[in-house]
Amino acid sequence: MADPPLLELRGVSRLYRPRRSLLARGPEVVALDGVSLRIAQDESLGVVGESGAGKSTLTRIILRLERPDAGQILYRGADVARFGPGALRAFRARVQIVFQDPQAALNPRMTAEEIVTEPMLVHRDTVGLDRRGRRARVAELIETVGLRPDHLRRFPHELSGGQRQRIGIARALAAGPELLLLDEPTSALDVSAQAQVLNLLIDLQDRLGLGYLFISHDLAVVRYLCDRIALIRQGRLVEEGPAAQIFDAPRTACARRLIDAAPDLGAPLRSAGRTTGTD
Amino acid sequence: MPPLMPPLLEIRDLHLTMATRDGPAQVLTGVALRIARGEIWGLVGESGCGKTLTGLSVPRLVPCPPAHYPAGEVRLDGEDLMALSERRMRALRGRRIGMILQDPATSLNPTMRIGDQLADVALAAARHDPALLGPGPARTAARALAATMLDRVGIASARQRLSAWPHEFSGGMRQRVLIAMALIGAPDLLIADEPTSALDVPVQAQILALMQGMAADRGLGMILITHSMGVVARACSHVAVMYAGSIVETGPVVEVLDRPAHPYTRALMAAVPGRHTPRGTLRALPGTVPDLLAAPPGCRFAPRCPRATPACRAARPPLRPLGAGHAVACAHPDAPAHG
Amino acid sequence: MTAGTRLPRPAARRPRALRRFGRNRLSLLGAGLVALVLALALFGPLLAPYPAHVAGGIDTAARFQPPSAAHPFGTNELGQDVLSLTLAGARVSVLAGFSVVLIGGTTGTLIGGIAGFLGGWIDEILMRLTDLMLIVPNLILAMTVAAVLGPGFQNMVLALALGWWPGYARLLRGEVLAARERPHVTAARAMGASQARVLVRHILPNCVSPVIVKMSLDMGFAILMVAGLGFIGIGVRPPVPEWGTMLATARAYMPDMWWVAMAPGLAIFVAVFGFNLLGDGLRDSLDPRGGR
Repeated sequence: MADPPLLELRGVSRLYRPRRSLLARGPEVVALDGVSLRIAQDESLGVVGESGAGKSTLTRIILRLERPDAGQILYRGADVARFGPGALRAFRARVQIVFQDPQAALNPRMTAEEIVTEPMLVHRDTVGLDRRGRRARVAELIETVGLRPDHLRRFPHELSGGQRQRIGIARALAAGPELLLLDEPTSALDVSAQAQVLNLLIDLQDRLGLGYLFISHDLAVVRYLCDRIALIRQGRLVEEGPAAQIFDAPRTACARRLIDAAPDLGAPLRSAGRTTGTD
Repeated sequence: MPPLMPPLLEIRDLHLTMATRDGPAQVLTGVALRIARGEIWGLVGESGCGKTLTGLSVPRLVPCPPAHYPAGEVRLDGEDLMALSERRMRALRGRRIGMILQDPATSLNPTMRIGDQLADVALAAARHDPALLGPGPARTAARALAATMLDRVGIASARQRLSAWPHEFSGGMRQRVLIAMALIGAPDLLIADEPTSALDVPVQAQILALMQGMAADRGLGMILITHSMGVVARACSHVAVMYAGSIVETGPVVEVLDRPAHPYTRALMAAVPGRHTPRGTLRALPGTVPDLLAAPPGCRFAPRCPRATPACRAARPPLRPLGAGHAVACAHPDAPAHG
Repeated sequence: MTAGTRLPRPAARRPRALRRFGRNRLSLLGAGLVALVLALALFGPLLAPYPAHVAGGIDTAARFQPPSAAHPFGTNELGQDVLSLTLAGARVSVLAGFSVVLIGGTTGTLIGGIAGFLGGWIDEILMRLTDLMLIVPNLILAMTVAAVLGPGFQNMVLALALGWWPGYARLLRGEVLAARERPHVTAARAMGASQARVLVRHILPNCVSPVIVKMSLDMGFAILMVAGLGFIGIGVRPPVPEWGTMLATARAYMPDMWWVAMAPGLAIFVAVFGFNLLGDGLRDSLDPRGGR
């Protein structure tokens, strides 16, 4: 039998019943509805959908910050829901997340160095580095993500958006993960910072053999980074397949709509109705 | 060939200095733009290039101090806005100049119904232009206009939606409401600051199409502030590329995107992943926009420019015409061949 | 990386808030006044030119002397030097104010922090209790408690602190609730950090600055309340000099013997004013993202 995939979701569902008032609860909202996905080692899976499609719920459920109402999450074949405290901590060292808004995802009262060091402190037992070892590892990580040692002494607000996201990535790498959950890591950045971060992520994957679960609403960005793409709409998996296949032969209207909306500078510019120079 | 009529908006040599705790920062250094009715200008550049401040300078919404304008003119149909009294300026805002801000989530008052917010704007505009509202009691007429506008921006069953609260709307719908609000005073000029950045890509495309339609129908001049060349390619007729406080390349979109002359324009274009960009081939511009407190002398892009020479660092190149309305401020542009 | 591009700002660590604080003259004035008041609380009794008067000695021959070189603020109805009493009174007033704020602030912070972090029924119970305490006006509660326990320094502090903590509890609970939902807290949980680490490292540090600011603003108010209790006669008992009590006695001889009231009045004013300026300055400079 082949090795189990790095991460596998089997029929995961999640419902919310928002509170209307102290006693009454509103109607159920389906965030995820029977979603099944697999990510192999050093593979990148792009999950694409509009806001409210259930993408962020997906990351919270994988990290066991929330429990699914149905279905299983398997990490290397083991059911995440059955992890005891020790196994859960080990799992959280192996699966790390990078957030959309790097400004909000970094503690404003900690320096970059403290932020990157923290996972090593939390997972002291598995990482097993002393103070000097940690310092050396932080220096190494900061170089890995393309920053300079003097950035380490800064607070998040003293860094640019792109630099902050690099710190967020360095933090995610610190405990030595196998899988990164990338929750729209570039949508709060401007285009050149986005391009820098995307290239960094590709470079890291090539060097470290990480698995990526890349969540985005921008199909062009996902296409650039991912081997396979899964489209989610209203909590349901609509279409899944190799990136090229989704782009060249989309099977659903949802996929076609997302492809048409993606910006593309390569397309011919002289479209009808566009005014050319008037002077 | 000087035009007989002044353009809708003309910005000439606009300088803006911002007092910071570490001294004055030269935020805008000679911005120039000419916008005619029906044109959609994309103002594009990275964060911190002065796009937003240029946009806010037109309706004079930059607080002074800390800002200070040492030089420059902003003319709307020939009238110098910099010389107007605050009272006259207020009459122009919302009425002749509409604004759309970046975040549709925070730009609407959460404690007022959509219809009331729209009607208030209409009533304020009608104080300066009574013809705006139809006959009948002003409040009723304003609500009727609000419903018409919601309908125009593509919100279904507009009349019922007037009594909805902002939180009942999705991000895309809120942005439509804001567009309706910006257009309800029938402005001649619309300034939209990153109107689609907070929205999903498919919704972005819809909103941009809506704005294009509005510009065409109403002969509106529009400034669309964005950091994405993809948005420019999709929605704009003209583009002005800003870098560190000045415009480095400008012209019709077809000219500039087909034959980008400034290395910065090329870098911005190369940074947008397209449908067929192979993995790992995106060219990201290294570094960041310079600190405007100690901006490099000469061309401000020189430190990040692959083609910079000592001459670039010594003197700032002026904006030079390349033909067909295309102009570039670069000592070593990619010379585009023009027929 | 990029030679030539200057980065936003040279890195500087902790003193940043301090430097920002130092740039505001009013905050500096506040800090100066507070330092003065604290110095008086520490050394006031030693500086008093007539230590005998502080200890309760009277000099009936020299009653109601107007300000002079010997008595810069005159003498009172018992012939005591008003300056000496005011200097000595700083200790009681400031110490009492400080104790009230410290006890009230710590209790409230603890209760609010627990309520916000744990949530659920613990939160309900603690917050209903807080609401209950908030209904009762502070001064009346303090008067009742002081009346039951009897006058005296400790009882007065206890009485005031009892009415003081609910404000802090509400403040901190709100801050903790807001902080708990921030992405960087989720990030810490996703990292596998323990509950204690999340609370101590990620939630509390982002909640303390409003508490510090409120404490500093409250110091002035607490000193005023202490003086108020002294004024209505349920605070510290004479002969222990205290600003409020001094004002209360002096009131009987206003406006003719105005100087008797002047020194304690001025002292209260300076202390309250100083702590308020300091609080405002701290508020502006403690926000790590604050401009200016």
